[in-house]
Amino acid sequence: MNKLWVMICKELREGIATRSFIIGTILTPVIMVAVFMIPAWLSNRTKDTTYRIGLMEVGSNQLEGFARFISGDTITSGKPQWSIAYRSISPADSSILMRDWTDSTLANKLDAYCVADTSVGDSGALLLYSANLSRMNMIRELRARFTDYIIAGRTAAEGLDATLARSLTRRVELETHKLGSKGRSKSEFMSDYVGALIFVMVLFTMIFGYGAQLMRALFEEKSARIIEVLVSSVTPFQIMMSKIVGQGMVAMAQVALWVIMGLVVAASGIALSGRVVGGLAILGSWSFVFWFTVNLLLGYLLYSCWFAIVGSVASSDQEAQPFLGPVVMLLMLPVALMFALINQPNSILMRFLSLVPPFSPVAMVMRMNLSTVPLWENVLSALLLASAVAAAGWVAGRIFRVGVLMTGKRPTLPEVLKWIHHR
Amino acid sequence: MTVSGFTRLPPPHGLHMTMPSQASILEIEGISKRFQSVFAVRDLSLAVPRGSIYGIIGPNGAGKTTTIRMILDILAPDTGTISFHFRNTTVAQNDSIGFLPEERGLYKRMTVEDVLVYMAQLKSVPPNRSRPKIDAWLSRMELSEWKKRKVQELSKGMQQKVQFISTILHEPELVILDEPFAGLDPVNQELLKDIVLELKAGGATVLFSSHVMEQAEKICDHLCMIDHGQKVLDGPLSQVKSGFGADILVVEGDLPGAALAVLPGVIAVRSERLRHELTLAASTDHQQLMSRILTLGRVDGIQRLQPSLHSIFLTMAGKNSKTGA
Repeated sequence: MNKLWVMICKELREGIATRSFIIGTILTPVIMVAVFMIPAWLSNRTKDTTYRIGLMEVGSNQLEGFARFISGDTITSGKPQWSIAYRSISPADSSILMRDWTDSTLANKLDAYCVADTSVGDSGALLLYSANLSRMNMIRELRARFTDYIIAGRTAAEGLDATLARSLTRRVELETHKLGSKGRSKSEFMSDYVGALIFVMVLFTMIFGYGAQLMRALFEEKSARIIEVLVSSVTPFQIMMSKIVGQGMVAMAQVALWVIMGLVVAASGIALSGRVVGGLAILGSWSFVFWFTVNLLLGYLLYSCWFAIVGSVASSDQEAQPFLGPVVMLLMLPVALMFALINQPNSILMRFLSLVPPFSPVAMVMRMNLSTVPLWENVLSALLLASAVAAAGWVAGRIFRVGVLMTGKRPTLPEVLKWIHHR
Repeated sequence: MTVSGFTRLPPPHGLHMTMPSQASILEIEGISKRFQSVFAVRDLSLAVPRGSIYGIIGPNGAGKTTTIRMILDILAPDTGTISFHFRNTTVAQNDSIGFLPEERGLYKRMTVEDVLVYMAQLKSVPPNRSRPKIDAWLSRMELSEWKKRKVQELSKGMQQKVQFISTILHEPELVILDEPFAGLDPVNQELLKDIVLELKAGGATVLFSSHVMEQAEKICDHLCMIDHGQKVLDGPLSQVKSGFGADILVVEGDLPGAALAVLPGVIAVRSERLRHELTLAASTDHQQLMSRILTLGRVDGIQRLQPSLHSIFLTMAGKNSKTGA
């Protein structure tokens, strides 16, 4: 019976049976989907409301016709799109009405009001007053409908058929495709971007969530002095490996559950936001799934070595804090640069980051989402990462062996470095 | 002061003796450990006879726990060697040792049964073999009803008993107990003592540390006293005691003090009504002396007193610090 295996199984069993694992497994995708879907859902929802608008004509004769033009507009529920208050008023009286409608708008009795003078339709603009200019849908819709109305007026004035004119001036869509070595795939930049964010978030959650878990398990064994009993049964290296592999397997179990949940959702046909689906469409590519898994696993292993070192040297979360900040920065760097490099995923800096540990796991996953990465770069990146894991594992093993049995004060960095060469 | 009967224990071999290899399960040769400039253990050598109950005795901070940690390879000695001679060489060295650390601790969120099964697995005992033993031990320790409860629900004393079970469940050849009696009530101390004696009877060797000398005196048959990281003396208990300084014989009865004082082997007499304390020379023949005393008058009782470990320790530690050794 292999003791290492017994210890790994214990980590796995305890990791999966915790409340935090179950909650994390269920909540993480829910939150992630919510983050991307709620804004889309909200903006769709506001499209489906009746807007209360005031139309004030000051000496002009455009808005009366416009009010009639849009009075037939409806929303999906069949209710009218617009609830219109129309007034034609002399310039002298306009200020009184404007004050009146301003009060109504601020009291949320009106969503907005528009003022048109004689210049509208030729040189001037329709003026819109609202307490809330972020009502993008309303403003966009109003602008579009007013433009339609004015164009209809102009074409009629030229003696053209309005319907014909509309079909002649129809816009052309631009459909974007991403080119890869395997050919072309229909793709949209925002989808790629959202996809990159989702996969980087998964990577982050896994590495830090399970790394921290590994560290806390060590704190428990150290504080209860269980570690001394363990060392009288197994080697410190076995203890370290059991933690790293055990937590890694818990992480993999979680990913597997997410994949299953994703498949169930896909099969049940629940409509997700187009961009989320588009961003996740890359999962259909086996090479991406493979390299994502490789980067996730090796990235976790690399960072977990650091967590094992910190867990062996420190004895509480507070003590561990100063050791973890810089590591978060390392992993965050590609994400911070992402906003600057998003348009050049194949720039030299981005390629460098995606090849060199410890940045490569995050940077490579981002690049794979945003552009097409040559196979040799994937392989080289994985090889470099694997070598870094081996080196980190060796150093961690040396430090762990001494650190985990230390009692009393937290050692200084020079002391810790000395342990690497210790007997 | 400890009281023993008339019978003498086996003849002494002389102090600071070293047992031959095959008779020892553990041999320590000149180990030292320094923390910064302070020696926690200095040039310590000892041999633990197979099948003995061996006590490492000394005050707090004497270096007992450091010594045990070095034996278990938790700490590496700066100098010196530690070697084991286990009978069963098919078992991994780790699995031949059971260890109860001074600071007790178990996985708090595991159940008593799970923690014992797990610890046994780490000693290469599979669950199907450990479970029946666990049941037997829990019932012996009166913990059966706690089997399915989490460790954190148990009292401290109960947790200690569970940890003790995990120390010996895999039937190790060498059981190492660091301050095993600390934190136990008298009833459980007695229970532990009985089990330690049973382990010995079953062929195991028990090495324990204690700073409470009266306790050590009751169970150990070999001991090593250490102070300030150095060995003060070691050997079989009886030999340490009899070899140490003069014997005292207490005679109660209507006897003339002056006649007692001239008996062969008697160095001094302190009489107090019917109680006479005779200080004897080292080579005195006790049997002969006692039969002579009986001829002097009415004797109500004779007791031979040996110095307690405590007083031996105080004398030896004092001597050591004076000589600056």
